[in-house]
Amino acid sequence: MSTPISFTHRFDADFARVAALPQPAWLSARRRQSYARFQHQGLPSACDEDWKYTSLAALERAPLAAQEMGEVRIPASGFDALTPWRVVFAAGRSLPAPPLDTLADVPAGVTLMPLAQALAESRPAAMQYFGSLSGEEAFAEFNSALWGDGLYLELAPNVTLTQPLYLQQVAGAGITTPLRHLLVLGENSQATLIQHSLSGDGAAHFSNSVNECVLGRAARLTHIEVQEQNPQALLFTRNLAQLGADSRYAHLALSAGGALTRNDLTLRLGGQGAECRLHGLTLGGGRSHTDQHIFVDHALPGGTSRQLYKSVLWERARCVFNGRVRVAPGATKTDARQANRNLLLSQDAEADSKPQLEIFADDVKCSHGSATGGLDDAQLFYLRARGLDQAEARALLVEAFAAEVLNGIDASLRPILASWLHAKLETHHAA
Amino acid sequence: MNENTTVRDAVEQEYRWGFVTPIEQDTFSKGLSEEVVRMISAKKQEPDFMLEWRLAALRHWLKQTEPNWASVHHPPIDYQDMSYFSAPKKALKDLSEVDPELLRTYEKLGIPLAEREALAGVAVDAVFDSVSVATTFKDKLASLGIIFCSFSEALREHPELVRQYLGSVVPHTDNFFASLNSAVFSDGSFVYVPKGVRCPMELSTYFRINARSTGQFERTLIIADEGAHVSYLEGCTAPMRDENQLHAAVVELIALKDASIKYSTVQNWYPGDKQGRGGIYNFVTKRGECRGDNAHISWTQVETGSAITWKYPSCILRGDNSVGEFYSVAVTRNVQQADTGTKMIHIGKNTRSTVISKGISAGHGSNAYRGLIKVLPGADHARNYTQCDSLLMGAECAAHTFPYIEVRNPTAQVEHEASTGKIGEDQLFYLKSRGLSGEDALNMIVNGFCKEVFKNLPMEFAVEAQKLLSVSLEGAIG
Repeated sequence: MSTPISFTHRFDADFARVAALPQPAWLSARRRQSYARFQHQGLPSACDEDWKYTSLAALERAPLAAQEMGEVRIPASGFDALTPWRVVFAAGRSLPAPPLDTLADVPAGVTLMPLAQALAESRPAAMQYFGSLSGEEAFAEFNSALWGDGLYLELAPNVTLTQPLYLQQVAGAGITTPLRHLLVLGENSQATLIQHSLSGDGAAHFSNSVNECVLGRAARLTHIEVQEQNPQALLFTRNLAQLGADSRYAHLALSAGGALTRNDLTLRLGGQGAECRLHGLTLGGGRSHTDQHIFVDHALPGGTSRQLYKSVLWERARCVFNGRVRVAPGATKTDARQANRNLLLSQDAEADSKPQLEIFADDVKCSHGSATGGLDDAQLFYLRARGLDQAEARALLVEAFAAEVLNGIDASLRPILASWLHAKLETHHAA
Repeated sequence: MNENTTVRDAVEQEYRWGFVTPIEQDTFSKGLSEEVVRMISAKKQEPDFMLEWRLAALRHWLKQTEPNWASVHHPPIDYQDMSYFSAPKKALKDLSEVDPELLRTYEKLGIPLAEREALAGVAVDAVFDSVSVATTFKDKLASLGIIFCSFSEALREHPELVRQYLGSVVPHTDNFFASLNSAVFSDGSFVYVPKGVRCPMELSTYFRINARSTGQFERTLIIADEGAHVSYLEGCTAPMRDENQLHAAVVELIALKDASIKYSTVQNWYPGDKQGRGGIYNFVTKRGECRGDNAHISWTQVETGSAITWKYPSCILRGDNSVGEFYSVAVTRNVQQADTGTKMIHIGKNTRSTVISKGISAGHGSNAYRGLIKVLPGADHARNYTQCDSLLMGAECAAHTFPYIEVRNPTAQVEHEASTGKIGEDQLFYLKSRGLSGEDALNMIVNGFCKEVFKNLPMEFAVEAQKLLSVSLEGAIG
């Protein structure tokens, strides 16, 4: 038997294909540069502090074939009812129907088009910000070299996207062409994005997506990510956002299942008085491994950040929280808080927590807390003394623990997220 | 002297214990090789097993690379450009033979050897550079079966104990600096408290670095047998000098069933001048193991000196119901850097650990807490509580918190909390409006901030630590 080709060298054919796509010369040059860097640095190892708790052996080993543009089943989604603006990417390509330009009643001042088109038309904001945040990490370079499709959303100043934009990303079997999205929110504009990544079927797949978001002065973005992966799935996402003065960024990540999920969220509070609220919930069972990596960079004074990351783990699941807050020299009046809470429901589950504060200024308020434990016997006893059986009491406590991450979410979105959460936990209890 | 001059004197105070005692030294030429290790071992007339152990450590060290993950910066250290052994030339039999120069040194430090018994009731194993030259209270301790002596003496008198325990907590392969220490360690203290004995006094060693460009490599080994109790104090000052000095000590604590060890440190080595020139590099490996059930190890440290501190006193909680504690105050000012914290490894059932870490950064000081709490699958009902607070003084300083928390048991309860902030203007205003000077108000707030740690120090140390802290922070706030 021949030895499997290492992960970094499996993509030559794919690269040749994307490099040959009709595109501006600068873009194909940039792809080449990124591909070379990706191959040069290779996949990170456990010696790399950012990958201390996450092994990529599963990725190296996975028998992933290049993606066939076959049929991908689009599962029904509870989020469909929420908004008329839905864009579906199946196996890395946007589905022909409905095409982006037929989304009904999109307000004036909203530009919504494939990212490749925005770059081909040299739209100034797209040219300015594309690739400005993604960075040089291995999976970022992988994405910059190989991305196939993605969305470009631009909001003119003072424009409000009245309904959420629902982005469904369905992966087929094998290696899915990476997705790349760019969001540019002008001054005082507002938008809500729901990004839903899921497995089309039970086959193993590798998916990678990168979002770059730029928020102008006083802009507001609510970004909800929902990840539902099958037990074979390998998912790598990167979210990068730059926050202008007085802007508000709210991010909620709900991650369920998957063999290996790695989410990187990197925020730069690059304007005075910017605020972010980052919530995350990991539901892990089986042998799932979820790694939540958050980096909040308070670059300028007066920024506020709040993090609340929770996990509920059963069977042999493992969850890693690595939250880093940096306060740059001179970024005074920064107010940063981080909290990580892990609930272990079985003997073999594991939670690794690494909240970090790096502070280079004195007039700041920063704190973090991390707690890991099982269900509280006293609480269980209290509920059982009031007539609930063991299973009901446990379910109630677990759901109450998990639902805290929905605090602060807009009232119009909360019910659907709460019922998603309820259903997810119920399947676990039923199992 | 009026109050203003007092304050100004204090603010401009240079390192108080800065002086070099001119004393004849027997120093090896610079460089590190098997030959040097053999010479050290021969000079100390060590048994063969010790030489073998040292050589194994050296061979391992040569394969290792210097760690670079700590949040500290320093020019590269040339390990071949320093001398690995230095001892006062004359062999000494008792106090009357001690060089009067050396005795005067101790007097300047405020530990008159002759009057110690009456003075503080503390037995001091004085380490002048690398060889222990005087040990007191021996008879008193010996009557209880307690062994408290220099490491060289322990190797001569009790080789079986040394052989049994040396390297059993910090093996010679542990890390770069521990391997280096294992190869070339010069001397240190050895304590053995037999079964069921409660050591009647605080044991103490004053370390003092005195020879120019001689790295000092201390090795301390403390064993508390079943049901024994011992409290050990380590404190140090060093003369002023302009060349960086490397200090890579290893401390091993072993607590058997029902035993308890309390280890307290006040560290005030030369931090370098205002630009950080000439300060001590303090790269220390300290680890204790609760080897039996119900054992207890407690680390308390007050770190105000050194240009760079790299130190993680840790506890391996192997016995069921064993307890580990870590209390720390670290102060960095001017350009001092400290990367310190602890590791608590929960292996046994019902093990408990407490970590209280207080960091104070002033001027351009940088202070990092780095800690690991690890709960292994068998550690049912393990409990940890960690609190790390940082106080910032001045816009140029830095404070970092890097906890690692790994939990693999659902019945464990692990909590970590950290906060960072500066002294509230309102607190200062409140105290000043009640007639306290700015300096006094600051002192009061800082002492309150550190109270939880200080209260765990033995009395003599607590007083010294408070003084040290107020001297360290004078002039830190406008």
